[in-house]
Amino acid sequence: MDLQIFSKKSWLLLFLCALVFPVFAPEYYVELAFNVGIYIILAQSLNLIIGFAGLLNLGQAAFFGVGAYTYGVLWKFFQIPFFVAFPFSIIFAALTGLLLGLPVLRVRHDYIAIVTLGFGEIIKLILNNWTDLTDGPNGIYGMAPPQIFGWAIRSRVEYYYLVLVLVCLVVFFMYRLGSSRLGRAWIAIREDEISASSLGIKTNRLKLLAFTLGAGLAGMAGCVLAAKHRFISPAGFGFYESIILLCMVTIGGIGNIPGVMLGAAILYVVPEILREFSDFRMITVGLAMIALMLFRPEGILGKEKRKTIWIQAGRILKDRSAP
Amino acid sequence: MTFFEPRRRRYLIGKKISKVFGGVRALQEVSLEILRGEILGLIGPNGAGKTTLFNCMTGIYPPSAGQILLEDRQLDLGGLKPAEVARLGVARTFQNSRVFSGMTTLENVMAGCHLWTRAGLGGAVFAGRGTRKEEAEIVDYSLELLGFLDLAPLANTLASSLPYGLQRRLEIARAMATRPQLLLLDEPTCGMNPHESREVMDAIRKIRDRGITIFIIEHDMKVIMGISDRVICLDHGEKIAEGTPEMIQKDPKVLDAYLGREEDAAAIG
Repeated sequence: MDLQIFSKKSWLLLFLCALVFPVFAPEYYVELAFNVGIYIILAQSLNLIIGFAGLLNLGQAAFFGVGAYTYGVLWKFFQIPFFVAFPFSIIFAALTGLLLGLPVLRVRHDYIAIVTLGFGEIIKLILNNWTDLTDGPNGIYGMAPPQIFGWAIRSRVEYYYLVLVLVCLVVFFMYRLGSSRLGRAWIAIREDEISASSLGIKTNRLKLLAFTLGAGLAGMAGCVLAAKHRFISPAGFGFYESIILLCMVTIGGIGNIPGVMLGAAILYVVPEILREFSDFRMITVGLAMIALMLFRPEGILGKEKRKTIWIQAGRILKDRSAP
Repeated sequence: MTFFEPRRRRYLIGKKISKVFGGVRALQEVSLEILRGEILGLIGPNGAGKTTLFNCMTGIYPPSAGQILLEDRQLDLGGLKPAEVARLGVARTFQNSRVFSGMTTLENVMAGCHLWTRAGLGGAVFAGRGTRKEEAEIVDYSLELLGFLDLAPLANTLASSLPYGLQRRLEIARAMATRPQLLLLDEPTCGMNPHESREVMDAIRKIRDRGITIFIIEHDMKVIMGISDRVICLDHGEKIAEGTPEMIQKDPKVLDAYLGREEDAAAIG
């Protein structure tokens, strides 16, 4: 498969399908699609860190949790409404990302995985044990639904559209980043850090930026999820979620934006569909993943073709050569 | 009218640079001067410390002792980070090909334009007029560089699928993209056939003619003698000779270092 199927037209088509989806689909599928949307945002946030900057992060769910709990705690103590808490969730998760980035700068390759893994566990322990703030394993509940100008978002369909808007923004953001000067610098760092730094690329600063942005996006997803479920507990933000996110990114193709979207959708939807097979479903998913890594190690959509930049350059060239 | 040849200004002065790895003295009090606009060759047998000298000069690791001064700025390069050195106008290539294999040829060079461009997060997301103009300038400049090094037809090729010789040339283009004043080339013709290597040498001369000073490590004596204005020879981490190619070719110490000592040769003979 070639990435060219994701031309502007196909994106538009995909968007239109997503737009009319709730009109035809039963509520259950709208709910499913909402969750897929959340996971698309999360997978893209991890894609920014792993796919662009090449930092193997095994603690992404922690940022998700920080975002959710920022809203939860702000609500619990100050009854701060969703849209006010929303930027705080992003900022606070981003700051957490910055904080994690600092020790990560001191290690390389696989050791990054260990550091981030430890970090994820620390966040989960804090959420579980700082009971004054988080109510521990009982979680926080009862957040008011988001309200815009007196109109409250309550139904599944409304939440679906909220997340659809965010997914569009995130995908746009990722595309713009990927084809920018920053994106090139990140990929340069991912490919060869020493070469990158000897080209004057400030690797430390850019790695921190990747962590900060990736964490902020995950925090945003967390905030929306907290609002939707009106309940959060530490259980949803553990190592398992981090690993699933990593699998979504890997299956979709590291750094490949539409691929990662597809990866998130598949890894969320397939276990749901296989629900009736109960115990066998995770075995099936696991086997499928092994098979995929054996036969398509670069992900479902294959390696990112990096066409976007070339398209720009090609256009410039064409303008030049035109008489 | 000039009645005398004006003395060339010095660009970089290395004072007694030493580097110790554990018990190994890789560089021992090497002093050197690089003059503006020259091609300075660096030769020496394997393990003489040539690449170590480059690494000390470009911040890959700090020298154990000594100073590396940029003359016009009175700045010590020793102890700076690679990115900071690059920002001061010193670019380099590596002995083994280190192109960004997942990027296209053009993108490799575009990544090299990072240090003199500005677009940040806001520019990336909103892509306003300023950013788009800058991107166009980057593409322009990169394509020009690719043309300069005869890589333009391959602009859209993934760097990893270029043949080795072209990857080396791409690395030179990428280093040039930083708009350096001094370019350090670590065995740019290594692993090339004579034809390719001649092309690279021509390119290096053209780069010098653009006013860029070049410091080049080369294994092949014939190649370096043809291109350098001056040559420095290292052996066992020490500078054993310095001078014009003709002088170096006749220098008994250099011949010793390359061919073995006379008594060894006699013993073998």
